[in-house]
This record gives sequence, structure tokens and C-alpha cells, in this order.
Amino acid sequence: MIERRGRDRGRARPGGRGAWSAPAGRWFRVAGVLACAVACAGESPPAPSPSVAPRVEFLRSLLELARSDVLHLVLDPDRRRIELRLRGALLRVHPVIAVTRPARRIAFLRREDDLSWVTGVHEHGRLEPGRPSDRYEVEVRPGDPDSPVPEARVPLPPEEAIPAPPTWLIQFDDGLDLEVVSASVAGEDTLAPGWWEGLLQAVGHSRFHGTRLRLVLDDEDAAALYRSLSPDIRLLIAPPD
Amino acid sequence: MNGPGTAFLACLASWRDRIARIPTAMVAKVPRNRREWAAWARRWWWAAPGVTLAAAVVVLARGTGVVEVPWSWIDVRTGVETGPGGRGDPSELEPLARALRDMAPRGPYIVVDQTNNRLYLKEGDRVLREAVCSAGSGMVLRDSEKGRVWVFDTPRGVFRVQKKARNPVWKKPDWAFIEEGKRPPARASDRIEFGTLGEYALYLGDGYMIHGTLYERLLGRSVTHGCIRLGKEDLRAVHDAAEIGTEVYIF
Repeated sequence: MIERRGRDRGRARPGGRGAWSAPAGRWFRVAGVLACAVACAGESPPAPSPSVAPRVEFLRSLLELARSDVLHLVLDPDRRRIELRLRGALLRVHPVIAVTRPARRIAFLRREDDLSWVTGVHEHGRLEPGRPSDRYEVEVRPGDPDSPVPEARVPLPPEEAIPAPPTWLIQFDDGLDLEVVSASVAGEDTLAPGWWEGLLQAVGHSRFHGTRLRLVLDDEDAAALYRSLSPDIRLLIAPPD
Repeated sequence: MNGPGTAFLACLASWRDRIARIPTAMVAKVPRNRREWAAWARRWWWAAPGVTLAAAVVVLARGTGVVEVPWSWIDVRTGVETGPGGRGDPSELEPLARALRDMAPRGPYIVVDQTNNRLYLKEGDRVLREAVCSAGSGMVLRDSEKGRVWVFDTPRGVFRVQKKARNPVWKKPDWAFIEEGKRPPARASDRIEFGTLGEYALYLGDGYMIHGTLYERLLGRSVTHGCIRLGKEDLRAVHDAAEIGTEVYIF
């Protein structure tokens, strides 16, 4: 006979088994048997292969855009680049330093945005702030010596004529805002929405645009992109590889 | 079967039933007058904080995305669980990629960034040459005598090199005279000007071309009447690389 010592002394051990009662022990045995049965029953389902649907959808949209005469942007977050394309031709490539999107926090919890926009074509992009127009008008009455002849006007180079703001937006009709930030100011406050936007959306009242993607570009690239975008630009975002 | 699990489940069921009966009990007898409303309030006052708390939880949960409907998407053909867009057919990828490749220009092509006044000679993804150019000034010229209007914009879109010329001759259009305050001449020979367009010209149609300039110091500024001006060396390189039919993309 084994003498019990220390903390175990004086405790009942029915049936010489552990501290659990008999019904509880039965429960655990049944649960164990069930777990084993589930684990051993048949083959485990095959791991689902990665979906190619987003890639197919992306290529379809890209092909559709390439068949149109519309200038479009293709953002590839994986390759960290944004491309300007027209009719299947790659016109410009701007390296992207970072692609981020703000995660809203409400009551200290993070709210994830809906990602259904990833493969769609975002249309009717508008620059915010808009570019100033440098158009000017001259009226001449030919052969009239009193009519002023326009003087040769030497315009400023584009860098001076159209100064790009350090932070600017392309706003699309579907609510997506693409915020482009020059690298030199990327650490500063941007136009990213605050937590109050998420709170307003939570209660169904939002006057803000939806998801805002933020691209950090080299200063020159950001300025060149700002100047060269035509009105009604479209955007396509490449899905992850 | 006895045990802690059974007891726990029974307890849960009991409370679930009690809680489920509360809304029914609250509206079982609808108060009809002030006295009944007061009695109703005395009976159910303790539910007010709970209802408020539940509403707050619902609003916050909706806002934070804590509450999610666990959708699963089933491919109707295979019965296999997929993403919302389905799994897609991998065999579709290659034809789409091929169609895109077919649309891309073959051989060298020219890209003109008219706002930044840059011209790129490209082949595939590679930039063979980057050049400073000049594009349209955007000026609007009005002939107040005949009411004609010209807008000196460089058009955007896709063009093709239709003709290449060495030592091109410029046949001055009407606007070139109007701009100088002169009437356009009647004789065609009075419109001919040599050397103004530089050493080479690539004709794009509708009177637009890529050509040289006498004023290279103005390259990089938007000063032209819609054509693309290039410096001497760059013009030669572009002329040599381009063929008839070469695509010119202007944006």
C-alpha cells in the first residue's frame, strides 16, 4: 500500500483513479474517442489550390482597357510600380516606394476594408487639387496695321508652370481615392482619413470617400505623374501573384 | 447521462429560454393608458440598460467588422469551396496574356509625354532613348477677320509614322501667317519655307509631325503649334529607329 503524503493526504480518490469523478471521466473518454474517429475518418480534404480567378479577371479587364482608347494606370503593389498604359503599350513606369492603406480603428479595434475593389476598373479619375490651365487666347486681324500682333511668349518649363503639390489625390467614381505622396513628405500627416471616418461609416453616415490607397513615390516621379495625367483616367490594380 | 457538461448545457438552455421569453413577455400585454404604461415601466425598467448596451454593441460590432457573416462560396460546377470570384480556370490565363502581348507594339515605338515635354524611344519595357522635346502651347488663335479659330494643342492618342522625310520643306499653313498679322498668300510657292523643320520630319497625319527646330533653347517648353520638336541628335536617332508604321503614343 502506498502511503499518500503532502497535499494529497486526506483527499478522496474514488476507485483509486484521479481527481475527476466517474461521469466526467466518461465524458473525456467519449470526447477522446470521437476526436480520434474524426481524425482518422477518411482522407483529409485536399488543400485548395490558390484561386486564379482574380488574375483572370485582372487580365480580362486589362485587355478590355487595352482595346479602348483610354489612357489607364495599372498599379502593381507586388512589383512596387505604377504603369501608364495605352492600347496595350507601356508608356511610363513609376517605381512605387510604398503602397499602404489606412486601417481604421474604432473602439481600439481594427476595421478591415472590403477588398472587392481589387480587380475592378476604377473609372473617371479626377485630380485633386486640379491642374491649372495654361491656355491663353490671342485675337488677330490680319493685314490691319492697328491690330496687335501677339508677342513671342516663352512659357515656363513644366516644372515651374505646373507645380505639383507634395500630396495629391486621384478620386474615382466608385469611391476609391488614390493618394500620391512625395517621398520627402511621406512621414508627415497626409490626407488619410481619421478614425472618425470609420465611426461615421459604422453608423451609416459618411461624407468621405471610401478606401484610400496611399502611394509613396519619389518626388520627381510624383510630380511628373501629377502633370501628365489626362482627365478621366482609369485605374486597374493587379491582384497578388 | 450525468456530468458537468450536461448540467452546463441544461443551464444554458434554461437561460436561453428565459431570455427568449423576455421580448414576448414585454409585448404580451400592450399598455393602453398612462397607468398601464407606468406599471409596464416598473416591471421592465431593468431591461433598459441591457437594451442600450446591446444597441451599442451592435453599432460598434458593425463598425469594427467584428460581426461577420461567414460566407462561403461554392463553385456550382465542382461543389468545391472557392473565393467569392470562384477559383477560375488556369487555362484562361495564357490566352488572355497572349492577347495582351499581341496588342503591344512590336519593335521600337515612340512615346511622347506632352505635358512634361519628354519623348521616349522604347522597345518593349526598355527605354532606348529619352529626349527633351517641345509640344503644343495650348494657345487659341482667333482670326477676327474671317472668324477662324485654331487651338495649338498636341493631340493625345495613338498615331503611326506615315512618312519620313530628310530636309523637309514646310508649307506654311494659314495660321502661320495670321499669327504674324499677315494675310495668307494666294500663291502656294509663297508658303514654302526651307530649314524651319530641321533635318528630318516624321509625319503623323493631319499636319502633325515630329521635326527639328531652329530654336533648341526652347526645348522642354510648350511652344509649338501642335507638332513635336526635337533637338538635332535626338531627332536623328528617332528618325533612324522609326519605320513607316511605327506607333507613336502621345499622352
